[in-house]
Amino acid sequence: MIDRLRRVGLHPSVILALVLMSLWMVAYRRLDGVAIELYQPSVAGVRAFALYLNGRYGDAARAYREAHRGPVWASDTGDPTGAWAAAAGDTALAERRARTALEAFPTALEPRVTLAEVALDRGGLAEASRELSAVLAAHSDHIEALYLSAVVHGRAGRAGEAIDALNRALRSGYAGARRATPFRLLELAGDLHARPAAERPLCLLAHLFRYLRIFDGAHAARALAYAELAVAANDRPADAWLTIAVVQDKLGRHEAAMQAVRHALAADPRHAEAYRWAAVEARQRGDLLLQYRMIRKAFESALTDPYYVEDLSRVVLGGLGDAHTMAALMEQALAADPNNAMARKHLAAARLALGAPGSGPPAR
Amino acid sequence: MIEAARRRPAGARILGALAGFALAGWFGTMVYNFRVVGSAHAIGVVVGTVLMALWAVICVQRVMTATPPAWMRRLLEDGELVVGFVVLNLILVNVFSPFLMLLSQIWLGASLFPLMLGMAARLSGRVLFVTFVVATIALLWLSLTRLARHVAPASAALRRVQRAFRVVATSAVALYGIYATALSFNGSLDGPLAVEHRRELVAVTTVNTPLDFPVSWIDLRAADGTLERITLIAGKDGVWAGYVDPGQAVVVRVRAGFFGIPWIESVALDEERRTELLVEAAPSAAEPRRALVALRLRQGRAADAVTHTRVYLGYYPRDTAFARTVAETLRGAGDAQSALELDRLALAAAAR
Repeated sequence: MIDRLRRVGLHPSVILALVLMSLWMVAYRRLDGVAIELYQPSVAGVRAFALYLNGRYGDAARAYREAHRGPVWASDTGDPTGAWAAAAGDTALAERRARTALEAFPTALEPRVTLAEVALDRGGLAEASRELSAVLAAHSDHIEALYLSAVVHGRAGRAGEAIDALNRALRSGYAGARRATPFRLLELAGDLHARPAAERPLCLLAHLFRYLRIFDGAHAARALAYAELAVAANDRPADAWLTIAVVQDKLGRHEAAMQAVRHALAADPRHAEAYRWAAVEARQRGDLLLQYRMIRKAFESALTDPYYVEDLSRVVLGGLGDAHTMAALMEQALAADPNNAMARKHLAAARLALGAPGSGPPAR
Repeated sequence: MIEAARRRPAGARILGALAGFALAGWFGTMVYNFRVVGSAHAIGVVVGTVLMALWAVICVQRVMTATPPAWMRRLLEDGELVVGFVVLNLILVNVFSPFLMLLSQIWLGASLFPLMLGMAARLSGRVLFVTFVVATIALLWLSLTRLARHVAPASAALRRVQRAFRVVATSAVALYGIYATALSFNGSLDGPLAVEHRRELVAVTTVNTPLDFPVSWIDLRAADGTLERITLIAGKDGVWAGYVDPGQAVVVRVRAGFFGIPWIESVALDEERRTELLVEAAPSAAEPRRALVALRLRQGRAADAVTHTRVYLGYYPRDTAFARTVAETLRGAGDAQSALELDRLALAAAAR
């Protein structure tokens, strides 16, 4: 056989090279979008990665957590909230550090997040939920608390609350700073994904894979597939369409993203986040009019949510130079919630642009 | 003749093919940029692409079938023996690149070394991927060529076919070049005036080619209801799929052409309409109102410019400088009466 190949000018080494290069290119295409967090330089880490590539996300997440276990190098002063100890799997030390920090600073939020992590590791969903509620009552946009809340709600079977928490956390653009957070969400996604098809919370899975896409581009397809199934099953269709829109945007398919946002708004005409994504797409197109209309709608749909004020100001005051409208909108927000500090700040900026007390030229 | 061609050095044959490829690309760019009205543009672009692909194939074929000098032949024969092991080694080195990345992150002290490690780790995969793609294509081509030689050894008939193919490919590039040059002169020697046609956007379609170069065309509806399709030019037109919606107003700028061949200079969203809509949606917004005043001044519509400046001063009475600038522009254009009216408005606003 080899001799015959040689006779026609095909050396076995060339064929070996062709086979190896083809296999490597296939592997590279799969692994190219995988984030560094999923590579753990240890035997347990390699096992976790193998499980992950095999699609056994729940087992993979548990294996990753196992791979993270080890001695806690940081001292009490280096890790006052116990976050590192929790990441290294030393729940007793993490709890001790968090409680010590809380004794000294009862209003501190990070030690409470650590206590929630410890409770989650011990399977205490109710206790974790209590700690996270306390954090979110003080700071409703605490990203870590929102991601952990999504895990708690997801585990407790409250898919709707989990989706709300995920959406709120994801709009920040941050995936969370605690080492275990992505793996807790991966574990949840894996466990829900492993359920029989009829029992899967489709829209929640779409959101979980939207989050996991940050660490591995291959999850984009899964997020889209679950979102489409959720739309078909009428499982929070507006949120499902929003997931499609965000994932399409991340894939650079802006036309499809805009279409999906339109579907989301048709399903729920008061969906503030969908309006914000419509504004994001409009900015991408350079369409200031659409951007203005959409971000204004986002703001009006969630008058008491200060999150949309910054974006609104960028368009109304920055893009249009419309201090009159900005001042009127901020007064509207303050009427709905007098404690909205963000609205107060931007009202002051709008009045300054108008040259209060009279009307003056806006900034050019 | 055939013998003469065979005696030509390999370098000259390869350079000739490269020149054919470069010329096809250059002419293709000319045809692409000087977009004639109608379907001729799309056909011209397709012909250019086919010619480029053809010459690329000729180029690769000549490289692969060239007879290398004796020293290189020995090197290639040795290389053929070890290529499999070289590939295996490269893969093994690449497998360790994540560890290089980790090492670069935990490296203490500021120096270039961790930066280089990080870059090596990040780039190694991509560089190797590109290298492997090129190497795979080259090796496949080489193997196919050898297989073809084995199955169908060179004959006089085959050489005649090859020669005829070369003549056809060269003639095609020459004819295409004449067409492209004519279009280029038609466009570049053209007068400065362009006729603007306002259209309604019906649809934009984009097809992603394998070379990651998107090809788009736009369907437009004229005021009388007739439909037309225009191929879009990347980086020149202000309309692109995913960034516009059906129903939007579009301006098509058409030039007459030096030789009388009409060509489309650009396709863009109707900025005037967009500005008017912005003013309608946000009447108190300063930027769109100022832009509309500037537009009306350029169009010589002084009365409209004065009206919008008056509205602007109603919202922003302290910005009299803007009103005075508009007045100066009107005065410069010989419209003293409108300028005087604006001066009065500015004075009244300042006195408020």
